[in-house]
Formats: sequence, structure tokens, C-alpha cells
Amino acid sequence: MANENRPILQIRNVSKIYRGKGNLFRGAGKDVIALNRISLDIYKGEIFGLVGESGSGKTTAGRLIVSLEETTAGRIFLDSHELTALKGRALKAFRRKVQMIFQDPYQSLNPQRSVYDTVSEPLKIHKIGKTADRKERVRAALKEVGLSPPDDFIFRYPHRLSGGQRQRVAIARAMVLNPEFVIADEPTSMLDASISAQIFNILLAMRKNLGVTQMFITHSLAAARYLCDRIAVIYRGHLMELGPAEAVIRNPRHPYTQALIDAVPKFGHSKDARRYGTLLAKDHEAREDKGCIFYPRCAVADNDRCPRKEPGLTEIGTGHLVACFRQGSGENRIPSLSND
Amino acid sequence: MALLEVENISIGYSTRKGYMKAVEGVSFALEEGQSLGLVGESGCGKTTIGMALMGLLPPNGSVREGRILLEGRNTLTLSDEEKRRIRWREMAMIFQAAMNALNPVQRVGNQIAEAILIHNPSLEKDAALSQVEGLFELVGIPRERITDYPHQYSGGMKQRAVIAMALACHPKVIIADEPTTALDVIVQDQILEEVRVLQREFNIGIIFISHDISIVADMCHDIGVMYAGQLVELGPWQDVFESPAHPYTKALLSSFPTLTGEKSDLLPIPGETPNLIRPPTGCRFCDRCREARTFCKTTPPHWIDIGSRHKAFCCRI
Repeated sequence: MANENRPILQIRNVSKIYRGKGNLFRGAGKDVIALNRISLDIYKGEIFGLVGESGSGKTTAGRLIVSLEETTAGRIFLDSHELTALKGRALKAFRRKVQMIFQDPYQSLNPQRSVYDTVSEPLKIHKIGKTADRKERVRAALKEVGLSPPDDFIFRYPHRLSGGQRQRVAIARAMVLNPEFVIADEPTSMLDASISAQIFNILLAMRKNLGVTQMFITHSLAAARYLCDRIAVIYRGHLMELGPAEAVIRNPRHPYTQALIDAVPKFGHSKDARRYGTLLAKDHEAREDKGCIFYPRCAVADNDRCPRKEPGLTEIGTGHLVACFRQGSGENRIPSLSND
Repeated sequence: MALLEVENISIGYSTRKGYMKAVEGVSFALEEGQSLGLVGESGCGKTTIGMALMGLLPPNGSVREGRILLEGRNTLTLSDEEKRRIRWREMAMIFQAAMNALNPVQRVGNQIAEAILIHNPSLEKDAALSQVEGLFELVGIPRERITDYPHQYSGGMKQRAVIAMALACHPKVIIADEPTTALDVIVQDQILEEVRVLQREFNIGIIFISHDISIVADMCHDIGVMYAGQLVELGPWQDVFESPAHPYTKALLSSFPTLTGEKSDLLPIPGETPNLIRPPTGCRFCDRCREARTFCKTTPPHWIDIGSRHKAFCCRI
């Protein structure tokens, strides 16, 4: 569904480096490359999954997109406006269009503010509506996330809400401004399975009923498969594979994606499930800061090429891109994603 | 005689709001070299059972009734001294958060050696340390890391160290409480494989506690599904997961996204778990149950045999 649409978000060669703090005794600190030259497009109305392990840079990517942090290099465009150039009123207008749902609803809600205070705050900040109007909007948002009747919840404080209800309040707060783009950063990692499914279905309904484009950040390939139209897999800040969700899950082409799929428990079928076996039992010696980032752990690496040169993204199927020399050439970058 | 038998155990906590019935009338048995998965959502009582098995309930918690039989001996009536002897030597636990289970200011090797020395006071420290080296090899930690402090370990290595500690005194039973929850999927897979291999090698019985049904399905011979303090279904994993009988088991399975098979809609379970200070008189699940009838609200459920070793706790079946 993706390509016939126009991109709402364009990420071009974005890097984020956290400068390590040195101290008197240890000299200069070590820099951490959280994201390394990531380029991708997100299309209007789609749910895009960003999948990676802890430390892969997936949360950093989300924070860059909502402008909670600044990129070290590269550019991000929303609706063809460059984000890094936004200031003052334009930045505020942008913030209205892009919202974020955080991981832990036990920390993202202020315990001293009622549900009404929390959900109506964005309206106050953006000076939208009068009090009565705001109350109506808050009620509608609560209904949208399944907290109904809303009047049962509107004056409650977070301590009287369960984890699932808290996360719904956080979603209602993000939705009350009618944003165009929502980033959900592991919204269910603190919740039980039955409650997670409720949250997933709310996100799906948000897209269906309101056409909200979403980026869903997760460590779970199964959750990404359920929710997303397309999936990008990142590893230590590098984009490894990107494509339609079913293609990436059923026909993964990057050895790292294959290793991830191997590792997922498969309901008692661990032995007969297809094993790709792309993960080395013992890591290769460390690379000298060039070559493929996955090379040290890759069991199918080409020992000539892989440790020396970094593979670029190659299209190996419709909209299915892989950064691996063993799939396609690994040479040609995708023209549409090159530097603008 | 089973290696470990839990008979009709009820456990509660005294809280400011009243007595909370965290576990009610749970029974199961574990054979040597087998593993039993206790699966359920937060607050279902699975960790409480693990703590009671180890005799490590917090001061406000107590076993109200029932028996825990380890090779026929009721561990609940033992003296503190005898309980201490059983703990770690016969029954060990792998805790939920490995990062918190290790002492941050003591070298990892020494911590484990200490555990060995407490249970074998006649041993020399060097001998204990060389046992630790053997354990590290077993769980896949490089030998030279024995003198490191916990903060120098990655999450996966800490978890391996905690497993090494559980194995230190060659227990017959290990209780693994969400041993991989904080880990990435690749590391989780490696640790679970390690646990499988060690279990086979030493013929250990494992109680595997998890909220993740796909992990217990992969790891365990038998599955016990828990809801709101009660066991609601028990049986071999194929029976429980491939032909679930209890409506809660069915609901749990259909709320879980999978990687394989056809993609189907997830059906969340509506509502919330009941209050365990004043639990409902009838079935505890009936308010959220798709198959509930009016009598479910008032009639307590009973056990029904579904197969030879498969049973469910429901009055609808």
C-alpha cells in the first residue's frame, strides 16, 4: 500500500552521536553512535514498525522525530517542512501535528494531576477552545480509547487507574490534538498480554477511524507483524532491513533479521521451526570500525568483503530493502532515499 | 512419589486494606527432570507460589493451608534450620531481575563461592572458587570474568551468573521466575537453550514462572494456567495450548500476537482482574468470560477432567 501514497515523514541520512563525557582521569570519553546515517520514508496513513533490541537506537529515532532531541547530522522532513529549521511558532505548530506515546504509563502521567488535567493540558498549551469545549474534546478522546463512560474516569487520579487504563489516558492525551503523526514507543512493554491486545486494537482503530499515521517502536517482531504495514529492523544504529511486514517476517533476507526470528519462541515448535542459523556461536574478532556492523556475529559473512566495507541498502523485492552484500549487490543505494 | 508436590495451597498477605488471598487452593506435582510452567498475568499469584516454595515469603505473607512436599517431606513444617538446609541445596531459585540479585560491591565469583561455602563449611575457599570456574564454564561465562564486579557484566551474563548460583549446590528443583524477562530476544534464546541443556544433564525439575505463554510452551512439559490466585487449567503443554478448555486459557491465547501461521485479529480480554481482598464468590473470571452463564457468578467452579492428565477449573465445561 505504501508507494502509491505520498511520504508524510522523510528521514535522510540521519545520525545521532552522543558525545561521551571524559573526566580528569580517563581522558576523553567514548562517543556513542546511536543512529548511523538512517534514511527512510513513512507514508501517510500507514503504521510503520521500527524493530530493534535494546540499544539499537529505536527510541532515539522516535525522540529525534518529535524534536525532543537534535540530530547530529542529516535532515528530517515532515510534510516537506524541514524539522531542524523549525523555531518559535512553527515549532509549536509542528508539535501539535506530531505526538508521542511513551513506554511506561506509570512514569509518563503526573500522579498529582487528574485525567482531565492531563488530557486537556495540550489543549491549554495550544490555546484551543473554551473550557466547555475542552471538556467535550477530552470526553471524546477518552471514549476513543475505550475509557467509557468518560465521566467515570475524567476526575480520577492515576493511582486509581490500572496500567492499561493509564496507557489509554496517555493515548487520549496524544490524540486530543488530532495529530497527523503519532509515535508509540513500546507502549505495551509494561502491560500484560490481554491488556496489550487492547492497546494494539486502539492504535489500529486510530488509523482506521482517524487516518493517523503511526510509527510503532518495539522489540517484538510479533507485535510489529500484527500492527504494522511495513517494518524496519535496526541493529546498533544501522538500518538492516526494511519492507512490507509479511515479507520481512516470512521471508527475512538480512542475517540479523533471520537471527531475530530464529530467537523468538514459537509455541513449542522451537525444534521444527525453520532455523536460519545466521548467528555465530562465538563472535569474530572486532572489526576496525568499518565494514558491516553485524559482521562480528554473522555466521554467513563473506570474510573478504563484509569486514571491509559497509553494505548499502539494496532493493531485493517490491519495497523490500536489505543492507547485506550476500543479498543483491549491497552496492547501490536506493536512489529515492539518497541525499536530497 | 513426585519430586515436588504442592497440595491445595493457599497463601495470603495482610495488607492495610485487609487480608489479600493471593493464592487459593493450588495443587500440582513436578517429576524429576521435568518442567512445569506456571503462566498467568501480573497479580495471578505465580511469583507468590515460587516464593512460598522457597520459604521466602515476605513478613506479611503466610501459607494459610496446604502442604509443599519435597520428596515426601512437608517443607512447611520444618524448622528454620532445616529450611535453610533445603534452600539452595535441594531447591534453588533464579530470580526475576538478575541485576538486583547480585551484590554490586562483591566480585561475582566470590559471591557464588560464598554460597557454596555456606552449604559446605568444610570446603577450602580455593576449592569453592574452582567449583565456580566449573559452573561458569557450564553456563557459558568466560573464566577470566570470574573476578569482575556485576556492573562489568552485560544483562545476559548477569543472568548466566544467577543461573550458575542456582546450580552451585546441585539442587533437585529450580524455580525460575521470569528468568529472561529483561533480556533481548537473542540473549533470551541463548539462556533458555542453556537452561534446557543443564536440565537434561543434571535431571533437574524446573518450575518455570512466566507471563509469556510462548516461552513456557517452548520450555515446559506441563503447563498450569493461573488466574486471580487460582489454577484454572493444568496439563501437558500440547493439550493446554492446542486444545485449551478453560475460557481464560483460550482468551489468553487469542490475545497473544504470533510470528507464525495466519495473521488473525487479536481478541483482548475486556475488563480487569478482580480484587483479591474480597474475591467474587463464584468463578473469578466470569465477569470477563465470553462463555459465562448466570450461574457462574454464584457457583464456585470445580475441576473437570478433559484428558488423562489434562483438567480445567470451570463450571461451564
